[in-house]
Amino acid sequence: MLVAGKIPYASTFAVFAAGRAYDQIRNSICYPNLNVKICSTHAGITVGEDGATHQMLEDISMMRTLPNMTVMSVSDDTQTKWAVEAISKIKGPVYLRLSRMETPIIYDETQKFEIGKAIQIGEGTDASIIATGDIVCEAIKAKEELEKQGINVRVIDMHTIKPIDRQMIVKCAKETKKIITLEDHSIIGGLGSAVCEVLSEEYPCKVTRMGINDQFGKSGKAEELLKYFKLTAKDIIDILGTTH
Amino acid sequence: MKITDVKELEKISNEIRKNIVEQVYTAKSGHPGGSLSSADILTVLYFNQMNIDEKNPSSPLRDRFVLSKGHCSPALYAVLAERGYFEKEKLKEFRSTKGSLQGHPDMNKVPGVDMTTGSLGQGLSASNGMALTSKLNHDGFRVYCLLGDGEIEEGQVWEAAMTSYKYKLDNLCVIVDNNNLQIDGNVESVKGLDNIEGKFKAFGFNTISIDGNNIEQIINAFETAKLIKGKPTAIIAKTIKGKGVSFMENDAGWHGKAPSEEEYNKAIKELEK
Repeated sequence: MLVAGKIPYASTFAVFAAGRAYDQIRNSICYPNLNVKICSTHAGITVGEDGATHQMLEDISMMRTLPNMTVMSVSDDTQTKWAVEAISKIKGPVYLRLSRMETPIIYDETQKFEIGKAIQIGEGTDASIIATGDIVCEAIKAKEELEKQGINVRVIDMHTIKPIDRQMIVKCAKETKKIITLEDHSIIGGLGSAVCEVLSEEYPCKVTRMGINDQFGKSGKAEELLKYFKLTAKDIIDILGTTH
Repeated sequence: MKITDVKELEKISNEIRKNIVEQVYTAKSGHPGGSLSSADILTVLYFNQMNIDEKNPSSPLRDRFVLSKGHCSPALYAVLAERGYFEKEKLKEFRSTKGSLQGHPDMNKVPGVDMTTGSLGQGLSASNGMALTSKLNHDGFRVYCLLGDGEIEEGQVWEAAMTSYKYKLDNLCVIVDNNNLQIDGNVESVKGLDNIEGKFKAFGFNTISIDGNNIEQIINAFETAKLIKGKPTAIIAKTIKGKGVSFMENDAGWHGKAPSEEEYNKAIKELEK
């Protein structure tokens, strides 16, 4: 449609949007650099009871290797609204990753939002938790708990995975003692990998990647699965506690 | 520029065949068989049917053509050059690093190419989008999509066919280049593909069966398709793979192979008769 003057927004489960349609996205959207917006839903482990066949854990990885593609993964309702509008204003293909799990509202209308500019929450220097998508809220919970223990961390909401905010990543590595990445996605090829790519080139340091560790998902309630795969605020605290 | 004289169109078509052979020979690779089978269809589209202007290749109201069987790019490049979208000299750069004529058509590199294709089965979906937009905007342009018969073994084609029907895309005309051969052989032996017309009919298309190497029949089919309202048309064009070069005709071996010097000379000699 785009070829004839409209901006198509396509939406379906992430497992189909990125997985089944990969060849179409590659050859008929990204290669001709068409202005198509793919808004995938039900991404990640938090799709829950449907189980592994429907839990897309590799989409960020696949989508970000495609030339011309912008990749986004938003963390709350407010940010989703901003992103859906913002992507209409940039030219070229976009993959916007959305999830099924109900998440708390993180942002109010005063928050600045710009594609490619990560949002920093807090000024802590003990650690940076660089997170994306529906589990940014777990990082924020961990931050608040850790504060009570006298550990001051910052959360970086990396809503744009490509182009990634290199400046923010390097700044955090310089200013904080530890870097943790957190994603509802495989640790291979996703946010964790993207952060490591930047740091290995610009400011080599140790990074702890939290995410799905090279395995398929399983059925269960979203909250239970986050516990099972060790992606909750408590798991973040455990890591920072033991390594701190 | 609308040419109505059949003899003149046949001459152009023959010129296109020569340029197909020339490109594949020069590049030492490419797909001559299906390019030659579709040469007459492309000639009619670009010299008789489509509302296009080679001097304004991105005009929003132009008719669109999607070469879903993108490997037959030599035919598309030849017809675009013949029509004047770019210099014929450029055809020598086919499949080379120095030129813009990629192995499969790239809409951002070649003026006149309406859609990037190459991964089979996707062109009808793109055509649907164009045809639907034409309708939504009341633009009135028509969309033509050329599918290979081997290509329609791809499932996406039939998903797209349902969409064409659902949106009553009577400004969409599908042409199946039914040369009966794909890379691995006969379409019937590869995938049991038969009764293509019945299949499209079952999916709600108006269908027309013709000899796809007969200029007059091709023109008539397109004219009939224009009169059909409320549903898309599929023209099943029975063609000969490798048409025009005796030793390439009806031989799946010439699906994606370049001729040797000797074969090239023989082919050109035949086409110059």
